Amino acid sequence: MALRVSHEWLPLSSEDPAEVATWGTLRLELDDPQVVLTEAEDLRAQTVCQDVAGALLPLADWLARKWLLLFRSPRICLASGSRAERYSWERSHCLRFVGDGTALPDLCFEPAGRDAIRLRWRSDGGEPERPLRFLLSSNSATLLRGKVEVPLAALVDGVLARLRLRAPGAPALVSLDDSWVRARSAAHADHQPARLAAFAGLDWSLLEETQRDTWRARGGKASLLFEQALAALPPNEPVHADSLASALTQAAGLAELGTSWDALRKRVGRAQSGLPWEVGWDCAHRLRRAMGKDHDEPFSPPSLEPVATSFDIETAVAVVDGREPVRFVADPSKDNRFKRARDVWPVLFGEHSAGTAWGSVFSRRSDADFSVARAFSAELLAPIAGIKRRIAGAADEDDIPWLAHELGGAPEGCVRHQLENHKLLVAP
Amino acid sequence: MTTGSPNALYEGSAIHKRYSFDDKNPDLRAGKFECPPDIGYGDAQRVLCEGINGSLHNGWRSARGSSWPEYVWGRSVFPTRAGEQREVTWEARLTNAGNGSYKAYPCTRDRHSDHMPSDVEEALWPSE
Repeated sequence: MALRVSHEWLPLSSEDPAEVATWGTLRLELDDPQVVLTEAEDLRAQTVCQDVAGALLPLADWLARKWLLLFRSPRICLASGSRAERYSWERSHCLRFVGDGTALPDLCFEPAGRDAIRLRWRSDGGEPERPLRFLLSSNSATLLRGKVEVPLAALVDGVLARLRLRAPGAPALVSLDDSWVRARSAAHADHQPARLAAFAGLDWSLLEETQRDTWRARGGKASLLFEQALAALPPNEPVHADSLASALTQAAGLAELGTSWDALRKRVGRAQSGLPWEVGWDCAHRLRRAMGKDHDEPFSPPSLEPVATSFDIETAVAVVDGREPVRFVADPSKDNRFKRARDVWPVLFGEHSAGTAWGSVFSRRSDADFSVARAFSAELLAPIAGIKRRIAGAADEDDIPWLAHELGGAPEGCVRHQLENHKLLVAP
Repeated sequence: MTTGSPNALYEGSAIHKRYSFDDKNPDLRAGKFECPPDIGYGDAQRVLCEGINGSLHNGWRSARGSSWPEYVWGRSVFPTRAGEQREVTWEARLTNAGNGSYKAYPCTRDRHSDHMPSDVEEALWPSE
């Protein structure tokens, strides 16, 4: 099944050259089986028409501005969302928000996985000010993305070509051309920022300049992770925000721990109050128990090995109400096991609630939390019970490399801190 | 727009009308929202000029555009030809950025430009 988009230019008398240049008829239809989406009753003429007449520029403009949201963002409209959220989605996915006072069928483009688009249309009750009433009954059809994208792109290309030919000085041409190139060409300076904004559900054309600057700053660090997350989405199924966050988590390499993070959080319980390092040690013991790990062997959770390296993704996840933790490191070359383990702590024990956007950037946290997390990390990687079992009451500096080796290659700094904090380090 | 800015103008569009106005013939197109024929053009022009400028002042406008915003929305009461009052929610679209001319046509909660910010949408059609 494919979407067919056909148009024919018609003459119009108007003072607006862009409107004159792009006035025509439009037919939208599906083949196999054929469904004419633009079939309507002309209430004044009492006839049935297959095409709608109007300037095609507003539709082309809307398509160009929404392109990334329509075809490069997996967000769908959640019935449970707020009115503002639903409106934000609908005005970027439903033709009835093209504007310009033109009647178009109530047709929505709904992402249905990585490679599919669901076209969903609703019957038309008619409105007194609109002389057309569309005749379709409510229904939907799922098509391969390309079968929708290609004909709509051809329509935008056609409108652009027409404007260049008939209204080369029209400001609308500049605007449409810029939107279209930005949406389709990675060479456009704002392509990547606009993609990231679209991923977060935001329409670039509706952002204030200061907001755009923010996305430009983020988009400068375009992330492979972003592409990986999209590629990991199911090809033919709707993607909810939870799945999206999960895909990002997976793409970041945060493999499942054999249980969900929420379940694991429940199993470890809440951190107790106390001195920061004591809280950190206690949290490490809780995690070990929850994971069935020995109390005296080093434990480096495999889930924390790879990381996301771009703050773009963090923001995207946060805005797309991500509910799974993703770890971000600005400079991967400075990342290490200690930091990876340290960043587990806020995920499991930090103050948050279900549905809260995640992020584990420590600079946002208090010094006290930072101390707890460091102690937590040290106790995971170099458990004091394991150290005590290997030494005769105390250790000196010369023992540290050997202990680190014995503890599975634990960072020597961790071993030293553990010895110091437990008052087991003596001068040689 | 700030105090002291020139006023925006309303200039009717024939493709939304079934009646003659300003020496223009009607050219209502089937796919277009129709300006209510029971409201005379002079009254429409007066009320919409006032309404568009009021909405510009209130911020019921699109963000896009460096001088005049591309879209403005509002709800106004118009006198009808029969001497009654009629409330219409309208969307105005910029047609001449040089002098701030707008055309306007009725709009509904379900059908208007995507440029309408969510706070304007909520203000025009409050949640029940």
